Amino acid sequence: MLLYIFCGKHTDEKTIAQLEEESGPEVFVTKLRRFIEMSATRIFQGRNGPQDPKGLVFRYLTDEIKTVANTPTGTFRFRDALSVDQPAVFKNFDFELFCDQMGLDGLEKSILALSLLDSSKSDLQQKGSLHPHLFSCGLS
Amino acid sequence: MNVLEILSDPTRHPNMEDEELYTFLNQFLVKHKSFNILNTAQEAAVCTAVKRRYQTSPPPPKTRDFVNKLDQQRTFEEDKKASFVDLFKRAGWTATASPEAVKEMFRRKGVINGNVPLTDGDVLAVIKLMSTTFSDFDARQDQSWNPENFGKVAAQLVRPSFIFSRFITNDRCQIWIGMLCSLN
Repeated sequence: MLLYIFCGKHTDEKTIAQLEEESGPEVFVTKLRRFIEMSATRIFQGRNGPQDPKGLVFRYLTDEIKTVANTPTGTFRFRDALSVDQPAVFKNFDFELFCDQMGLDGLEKSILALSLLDSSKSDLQQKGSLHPHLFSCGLS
Repeated sequence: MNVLEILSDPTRHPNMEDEELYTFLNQFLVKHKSFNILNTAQEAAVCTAVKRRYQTSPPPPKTRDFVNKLDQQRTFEEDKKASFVDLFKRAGWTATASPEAVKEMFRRKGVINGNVPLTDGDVLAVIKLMSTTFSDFDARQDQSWNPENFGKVAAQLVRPSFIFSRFITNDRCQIWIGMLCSLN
């Protein structure tokens, strides 16, 4: 099924949403991971990469991340998407830069950062614990 | 714009549902407490910001109950650490506005069902505070300490032999003297 989605055989949003609903959060997690991977050049180097020359995937990713960052009950999907070591983009993931590129506000950043505290990866946990303190309250 | 500003501004994330806001606050203030993300003052500031958000509209029930519960817990912890006179300093003259208000102050300090963890010194400190910050002008408008209310409740809850009861008159000066004498 994922093959269908990512090979472009089912590209309309309705079909993807329907497939996600039927298959549980794993599909969404895989999609998010794939979107991040495809947009990595744009996110971390500021230019469109060969996998997303027109920045279309980046725009989809931005929409999805905005949605996730506004639904604290579902942020485990974001955490799960980042909790891998491969491909290389997920190693030493620059969470702060990622949030900035997604155009998130302080609340949205904090919502995502809190989800990282439940991660099995200690570096993600650390990033999560530092970030709310840095940009959440402005009272430190 | 930081989280406090966003939380206190109802125009930011106006469609955030009760369950979602509650989940965020629970993660932020309770679930991940072990990470020491926020200190007590910051936690209080988050609760205040949420309350400010719903100043002009009814707060969603789950979020409202959660914030109120945290506020109560924090007040309870602060009361335990604070001295009796500090409670009155914080509350101001409204703490003696009625016998019930005074009783509430005693209750916050653990004076319940005959249990009196206060000394004469604690009570004396409050009398000193009231007498030194009393405003006769404000009192005429019922906006200053009311020693009658304090004395009556103190006599009832802490010191049955409190001779203050003999001094219930309209002369507040006499009341102060009476209360101080009864403790010496």
